[in-house]
Amino acid sequence: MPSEDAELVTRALAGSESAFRDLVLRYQKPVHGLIVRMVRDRGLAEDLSQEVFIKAYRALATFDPKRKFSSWLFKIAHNTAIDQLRRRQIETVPLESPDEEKADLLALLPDPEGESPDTRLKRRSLAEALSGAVGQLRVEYREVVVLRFQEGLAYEEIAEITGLPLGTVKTHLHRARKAMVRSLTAQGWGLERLE
Amino acid sequence: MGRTLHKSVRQWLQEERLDRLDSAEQGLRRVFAQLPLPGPASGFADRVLARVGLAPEPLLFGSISTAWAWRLAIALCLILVTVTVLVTPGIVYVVFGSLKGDSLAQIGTAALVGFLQRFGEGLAVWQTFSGAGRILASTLNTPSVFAALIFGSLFSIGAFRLLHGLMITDRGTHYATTI
Repeated sequence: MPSEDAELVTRALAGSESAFRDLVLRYQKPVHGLIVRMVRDRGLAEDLSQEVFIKAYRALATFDPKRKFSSWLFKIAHNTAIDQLRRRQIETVPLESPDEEKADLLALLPDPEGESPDTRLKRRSLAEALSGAVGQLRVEYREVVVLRFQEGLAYEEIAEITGLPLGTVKTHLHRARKAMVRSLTAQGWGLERLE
Repeated sequence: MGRTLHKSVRQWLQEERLDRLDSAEQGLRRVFAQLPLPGPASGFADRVLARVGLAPEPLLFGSISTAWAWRLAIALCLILVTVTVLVTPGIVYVVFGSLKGDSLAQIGTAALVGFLQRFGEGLAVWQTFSGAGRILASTLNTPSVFAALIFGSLFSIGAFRLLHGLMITDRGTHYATTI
């Protein structure tokens, strides 16, 4: 995949529209996913995701092919989201996740056939509780959680993207996990209920 | 998916309780894999490419084929309207042409009488409201009532401003936990 990315970048630099389109199609969901979790506003996340790809296109010549394209792109996404959050002076997040986010989440949950209304309700409620647990994390924790658990990145890559020391990344992840457990338990989804 | 999500969360929480770092991380990754994540709206790549100048601005209805479908639909609607306009006079003639002159006069007279009756009823209602309005206007015109109204308005404005201020300042800025 990385070599394919490098090839696409080379072709895009040579003016290939299809190569850049492929890069956008390949990374639009992860980039949008990271930003939407960080800013927690789908409309804004869409605008910022566009901005990320536009910045990436304009800076494509500076991309070092020895590096992973995804890390480079996530770094741009990180900077774009952080700039936006600073502009809006959002240092904390409301306890409740926005209704729009909940609606999006529920709309995306498939409803398997033959599932009882009770099971469906529980599943949706659990998914909502999980999403809420992520949303309640501090933005710097939320970001490392998404990069680690949603995107499956290595600690080193996360450190490179966020500009944090490796130890801090690990600490953030540890604390974020524990906070998520506490949040789920507080929402009534502790281990005892799931047993 | 429901049971799987349930199971994944349970396994993850079990690993967390046992403080097994690697297993807990794997567990949480499995949980995340099952959480739906909204992607950008369709046509995202087209919009990005248009903004960097690599592609023309996306069409209003998404794609060329959709735009053609819309054009076709509009053309069909225009044809339908034209046909209706051409056919309607014929239908009206067939329906009303069969009526005789005296029946037409009867219908016309009945319609006129009905209209005048309704008009009279309307005037009666208007007179009632007009009378009530005059009484209200003369009451409001007295200095004491006028002053009370002004005071009430100012008080309401003040109360709304206070409420607005409270709503602004009382926004929750909580963390889920102290970390």
